[in-house]
Amino acid sequence: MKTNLNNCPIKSLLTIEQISSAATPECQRRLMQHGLVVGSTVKILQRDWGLPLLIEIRDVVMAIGKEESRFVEVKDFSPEILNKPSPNKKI
Amino acid sequence: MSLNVCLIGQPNSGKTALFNALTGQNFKSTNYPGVTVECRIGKFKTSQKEIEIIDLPGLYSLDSYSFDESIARDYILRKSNKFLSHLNLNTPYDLVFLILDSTRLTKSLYLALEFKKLNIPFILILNMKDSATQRGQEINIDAWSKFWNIKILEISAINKDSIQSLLTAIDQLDVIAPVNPSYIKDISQVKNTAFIAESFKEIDQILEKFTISKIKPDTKTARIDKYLLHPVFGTLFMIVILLGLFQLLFTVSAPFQDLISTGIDYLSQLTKDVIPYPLLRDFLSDGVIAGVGSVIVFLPQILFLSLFIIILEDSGYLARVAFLIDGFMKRLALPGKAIIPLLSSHACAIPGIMSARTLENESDRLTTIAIAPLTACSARIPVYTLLISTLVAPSIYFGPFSVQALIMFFLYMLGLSFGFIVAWILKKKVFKSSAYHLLLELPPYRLPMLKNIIQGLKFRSMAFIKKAGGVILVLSIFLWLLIYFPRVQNTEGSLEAPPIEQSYAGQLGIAINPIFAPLGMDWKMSTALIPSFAAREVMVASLALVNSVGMEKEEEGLLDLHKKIQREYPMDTILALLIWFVFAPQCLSTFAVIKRETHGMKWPLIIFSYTLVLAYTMALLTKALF
Repeated sequence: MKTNLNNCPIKSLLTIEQISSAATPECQRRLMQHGLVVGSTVKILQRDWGLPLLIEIRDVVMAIGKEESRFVEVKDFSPEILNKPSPNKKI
Repeated sequence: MSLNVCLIGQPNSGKTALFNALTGQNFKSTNYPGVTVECRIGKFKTSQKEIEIIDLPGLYSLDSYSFDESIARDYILRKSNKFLSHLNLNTPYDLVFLILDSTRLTKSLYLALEFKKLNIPFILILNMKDSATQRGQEINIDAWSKFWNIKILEISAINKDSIQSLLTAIDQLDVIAPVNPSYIKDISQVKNTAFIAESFKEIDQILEKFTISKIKPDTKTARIDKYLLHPVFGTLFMIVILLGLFQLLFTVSAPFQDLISTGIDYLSQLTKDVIPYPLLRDFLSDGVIAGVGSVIVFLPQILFLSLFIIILEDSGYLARVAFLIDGFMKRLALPGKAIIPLLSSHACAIPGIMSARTLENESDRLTTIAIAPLTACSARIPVYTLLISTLVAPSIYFGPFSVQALIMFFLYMLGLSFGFIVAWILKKKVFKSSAYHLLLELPPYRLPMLKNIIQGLKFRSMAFIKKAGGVILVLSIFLWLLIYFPRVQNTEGSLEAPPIEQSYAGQLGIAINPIFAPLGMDWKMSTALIPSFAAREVMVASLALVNSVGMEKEEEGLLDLHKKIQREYPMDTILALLIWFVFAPQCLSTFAVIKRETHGMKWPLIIFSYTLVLAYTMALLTKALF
């Protein structure tokens, strides 16, 4: 399974690897216009209880739908976060 | 020298605040994206130039999809657009004022790069300098300005010195020729995913090069969001806030309403005492004062509702409501963002329907417009308040909440719930579309500005008073004429008002009563319902007028209208009338806006028909059940 925003631990810092080609061209452009581009760092602030994901991208807090977040493929989990997972984390 | 300028910026970058500061106008500016859904034109002067400025809706990129963004995009790229043609906005512009939020440059500079790469002439205005400075940001603006070879200014749109520096900078501009459309590069040649990725890399390089001190994170907003966006606490807070609103509507506004009511009663009595001519006396006291006064008495409640919505908007909380409610809205195939037009519709459906332009998907926009009339706009407050007061005494409480407030809350929720059902049917069965992309920026929390609140309340109260002095006055007079004519001869041989059932209004009410009789309504209520199709709050005035004829002396006060209703109608009829007003078609001006927003008569007719059928069916069911 590829790692995407929707299956990463809360509070982890991630680097965007690519926007999945499964997303429609419109969705790809919208994600990218909001700064979700290859190489950008994303922090997951909240993801639970059926609410959208809350992320920090380019110093801006944004809500992103779960479906859209699945198109954002990421790498480079920050190790300190992975070693001390949040009690709320759901992978 | 004159200059045509257009004001462009990303949503929530402070465009409207700058427009107001430059032109001295008082348009609404708030702390959530998508406030400017109309194009506004204003004028101002510097010491050397006369400027005509157009404020366009915010946009994230020139490659945008939503209806409001496309208006701004097409104006900038000089493309044809139905809405722009409708507004006759075809004047070529000389220059763009591109305004961005200083605290969000890593993201918002993308739009500036697009402008630069497409050869669009612009001044870059970095707004909210005060917030950025507070958070430690320092940028070498002069060096950056030279590097890009454009004018870049840091300002705070609410600061007079900042505005003065902008005016000075405008004076220093060289002569500018109107933008030639062929000069602008074709966007399709440069826009692709590689272009976007490259642009963000370039943004990072520029900020790295010219930033002296980086901006610190907004810890205040993060701390508040920890609780207000929490799935449990945040949702509970949202419910308490909404319940508190209805509590306030009844408890806080009651003394103000009493005061206005006493004033109107005094004025009515004075008219009766002073004017010797019976016809003129009745016209003024029963037609004008009773008609308009019975609606004006609800001004405090309307202002408290508006105050509450302004505070929600200005503080930045409204975007959080959209976040919290998105999961629920998604089940109805609507985006969480749709809650913003729907909440705005609670003050007045017209701005709510217009702000649906911020929704990217056309089916989402049409669905939101279709259900906006089911949200309880402030025009319903007079009717709800009057009828609820006939059902429950104000002294009855359930825990900390008055039962009157809880019933009002229930009515609001009832309309909204049916709105959601209609939305689900439209999205799933008619449009058969569920796709939308939730990407919502959450603005930082800000303390609502007193000036903004006063401006908002002034705007709402003036709009209400204007309506009371316009359509409500006209309808009240028209109804009074129908009630007082044809004149009949009394036993002494002089002319006087006829018995109500012999008046034109009575005859009309009796003629249409078979339609409303199954709902328990008599011919008086049927008569009073007719003008409410033009403006809902007129129902109260019409009931007051219809019932003022033959009213007993001790019941002449406006507040006694509810006693009259209580005495004349059984509870099931009052409930049926209440439910009728939850669903009944909106006022004429709302349908005019729906026609404009949907470019035709199809949607106004659909919405009118379904709300009419729904109102009748639900009122009939209520009558049968109780």
